[in-house]
Amino acid sequence: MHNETNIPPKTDRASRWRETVIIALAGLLLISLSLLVVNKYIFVNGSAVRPLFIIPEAGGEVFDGMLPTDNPDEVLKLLQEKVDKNQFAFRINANPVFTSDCKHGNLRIENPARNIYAMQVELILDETGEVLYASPLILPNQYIENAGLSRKLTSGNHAATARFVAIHLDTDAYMGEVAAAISLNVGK
Amino acid sequence: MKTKKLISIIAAVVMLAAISSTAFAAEPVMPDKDGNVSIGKEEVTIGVEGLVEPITLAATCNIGTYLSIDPNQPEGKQFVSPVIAVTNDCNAPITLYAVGMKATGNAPKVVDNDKYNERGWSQLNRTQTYANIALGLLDAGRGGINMWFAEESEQQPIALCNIAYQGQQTMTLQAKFGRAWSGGESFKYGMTVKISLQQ
Repeated sequence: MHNETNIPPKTDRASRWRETVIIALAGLLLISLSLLVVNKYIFVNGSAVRPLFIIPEAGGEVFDGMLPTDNPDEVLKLLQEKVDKNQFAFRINANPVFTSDCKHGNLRIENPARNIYAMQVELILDETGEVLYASPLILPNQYIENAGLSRKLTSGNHAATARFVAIHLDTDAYMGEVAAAISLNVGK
Repeated sequence: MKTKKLISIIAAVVMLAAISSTAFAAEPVMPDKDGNVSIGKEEVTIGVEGLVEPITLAATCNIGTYLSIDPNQPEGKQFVSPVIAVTNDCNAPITLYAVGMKATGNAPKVVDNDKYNERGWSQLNRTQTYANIALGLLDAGRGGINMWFAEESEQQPIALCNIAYQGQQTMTLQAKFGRAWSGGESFKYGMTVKISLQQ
């Protein structure tokens, strides 16, 4: 019983050893972490470097959702407005009657006031493609009542095409054209 | 009995006389050389003067149209074109013809729609894409217009439809095109139509 009190207990020695090991491991861990930090931010191959990725602040450049494309409906609306402005109206006698010498006929050509373009009219003989009449410039809200042909035709009916050319009022540029099938009636 | 017979005979004679006089009055009366008409003993002048105005062809048409191609849209939604309208402004029915559709500026030229097959159109390279497009017209309503324009140098008038007096025909473009665009593109095309009185 007396001997037992002089010998230090085994449990005290074991716990002291465990404490020593834990302190040693903690020290090693601290040293390792320090080395990692130093390696990443300060020294690689003996020279100072910056980190691989420097990510700037968003600054309002990044948006949520899918990359937007032009909305087809909005594009269509814009194109429709353009097309609607490009309408061109005309009026002409479908069966103008010419005197036998073809120097006078009631063509009755009108450039309606609602048009935004001036108009120039050609009468083309369908049989030959010959231009029988070329009008001067007709502004919107102007008309030609009578005109003559460039040459005499035989009496009777002649199929012809009236070609209406739209001309820009400011630039004189060609803007487009429409056509009408008419019949020239030449008297005896 | 005798009285009844007598009354019947008198009634028959009166009826015959009435019919005869009516027939006489209904004989046609011809106007004289000045166009005046005499009725009975008293002469009544009905001088009629008429002025027949020649029929006027009048219409409002689009002389150009636009189209937009966005290669970033899904297939079938890449091509957008507005509605084209032709309005008959005269008081007689007309026939509408498509004469031609031609490129303006740097727009691809109009070519035959069968220049390439469906697979061929989708495999055009960038140069071919910017040089070729097939365009046609479709009825915007329920009508039967469905046509393709020929190559620009070979276009001829094609009858599309009849338009009733004061009526309107609306159409949209249909197209076949390549896929090798640099980005979204918009082009303008000159369209020519022709009208005539309906035969």
